[in-house]
Amino acid sequence: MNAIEVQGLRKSYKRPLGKAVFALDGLDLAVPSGAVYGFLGPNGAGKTTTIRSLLGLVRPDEGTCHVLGAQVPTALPGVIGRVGSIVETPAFFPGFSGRRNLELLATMSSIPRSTVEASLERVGLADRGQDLFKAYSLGMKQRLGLASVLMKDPELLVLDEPAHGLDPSGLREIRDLLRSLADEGRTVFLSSHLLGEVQLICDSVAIIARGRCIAQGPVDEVLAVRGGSAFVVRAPKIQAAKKALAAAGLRSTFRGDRSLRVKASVDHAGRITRVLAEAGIYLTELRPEEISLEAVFLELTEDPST
Amino acid sequence: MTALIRAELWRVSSRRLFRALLALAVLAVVVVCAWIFFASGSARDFSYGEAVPGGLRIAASILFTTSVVVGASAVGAEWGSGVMTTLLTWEPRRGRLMTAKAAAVIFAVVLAAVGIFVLITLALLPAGTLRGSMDGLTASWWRSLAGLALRGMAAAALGTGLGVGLANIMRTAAGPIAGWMIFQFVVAPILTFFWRPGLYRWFPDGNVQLLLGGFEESSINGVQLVPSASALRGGLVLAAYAGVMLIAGFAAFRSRDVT
Repeated sequence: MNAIEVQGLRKSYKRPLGKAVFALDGLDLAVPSGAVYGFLGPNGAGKTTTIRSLLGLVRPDEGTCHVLGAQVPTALPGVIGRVGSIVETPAFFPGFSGRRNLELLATMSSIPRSTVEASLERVGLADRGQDLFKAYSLGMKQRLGLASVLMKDPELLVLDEPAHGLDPSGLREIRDLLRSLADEGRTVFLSSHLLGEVQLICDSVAIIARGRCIAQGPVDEVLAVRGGSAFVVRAPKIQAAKKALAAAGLRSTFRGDRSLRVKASVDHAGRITRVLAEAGIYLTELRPEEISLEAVFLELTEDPST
Repeated sequence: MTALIRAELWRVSSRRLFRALLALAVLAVVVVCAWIFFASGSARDFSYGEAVPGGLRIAASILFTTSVVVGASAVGAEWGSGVMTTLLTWEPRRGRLMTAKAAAVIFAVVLAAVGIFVLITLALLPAGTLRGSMDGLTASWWRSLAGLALRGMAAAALGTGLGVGLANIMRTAAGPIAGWMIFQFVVAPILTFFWRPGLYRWFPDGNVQLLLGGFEESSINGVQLVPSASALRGGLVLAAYAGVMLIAGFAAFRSRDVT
């Protein structure tokens, strides 16, 4: 079963005295239950609009959203107690302490107040719970947002940039927290710009651009499909090496660190070695290129007009 | 719904603006009543039976304008700070959420109004008993005072509803407060005095006085400002203001995107 299903979602925003701008243009998405799912896209791709649509905050022009099997917005109230979410920077009452803000939400939803302390503890804010929210740093606000999410003991977490503003140790804590939540069987839907983090913790990803989903699936599959195979070749005479490889029909590009990226399938390692050796060039390094999510993301989301 | 209203009541009563205005009101009542006590001297011309209704009437008219500010601020501040988004991720039924908000802030303001009326009634006692007269406190006087207090509470509730509605339409706190002040204290008087005096009967100011029973017949250029002076008429006009704004605010809240 999918925790989130989105079909043909379209949403445009009308600008005063201007044309409508499409934020979503027929988005399809299927987020499997129990996974950490990365939701990636450049600024303005429609990530936050998708999340707001999932939570019933904006009304799409067309298309349907289902969250935990419930259609949004009509049946959303029936499942909202099982959905924890953060939309952009968490917003709470600035004049209340972090703890009081959580107590207020607990009262509103008839959640036992004992969950407040446990949640603050879990995100590392127990000692700062009495401070006013307006005095919190961005990282602390993110932690408080996560604490509010945890109070619901949710099946599904919808998180919009939860690591924004966190320092490296905070990033690691949040990464571990999200992983542990997934290990407990929860689904984590994570929108993020931190591609390295996403690659580390996500099981599956969707990449969207210009309001459409352009790649979706398990991280390994998305990397494999797009990355193709390539080698990193390092040799003393790099220009001559490039010419020799080209003469043998092997396409290569400079990587900028006195090495070449040679596009070739995995079984061509021997051929590369032989071609260069026959040209009197002896390799100092030959290894398969590791494809990062960042490289795939940049390749996929490149604006065709630029 | 009860939990939602309880949480909202907690929040409204914790707001600094609400507490500051309440403290200011208490201070003003205490200072004015103390001044009356000392100013009464030994002439014994102070009448408790006349002073209390007068005091309640003045307090209730100030409360009406203040309650617009409190209502607008309670809802508008949440739009400004982005908290409305957070709340909707906990309670996506917008009608329910806004009903709880409006009910809570109206209840808090009405409760504060009751407290202020009781305080005025008590704070004038020393002047009445020690330096004036307590004549005329008949059963009908108490009935009339209770009626005045009820109408004062109604004015406070309607003002709060008006503020809540305006804040939902404009989605800020400052906008509706400034807009209301400009309308009430600049636009309405200009239109009344320089254009059409007859419009006055439709503006809130005179209708608050009508509702509270303190309206004095007056005219500008021979045009009577409010021809049929009755508390019911004043209440109905104010209820129309509050009702229209609340309905428009609810409709806007239910239909517009929260971005």
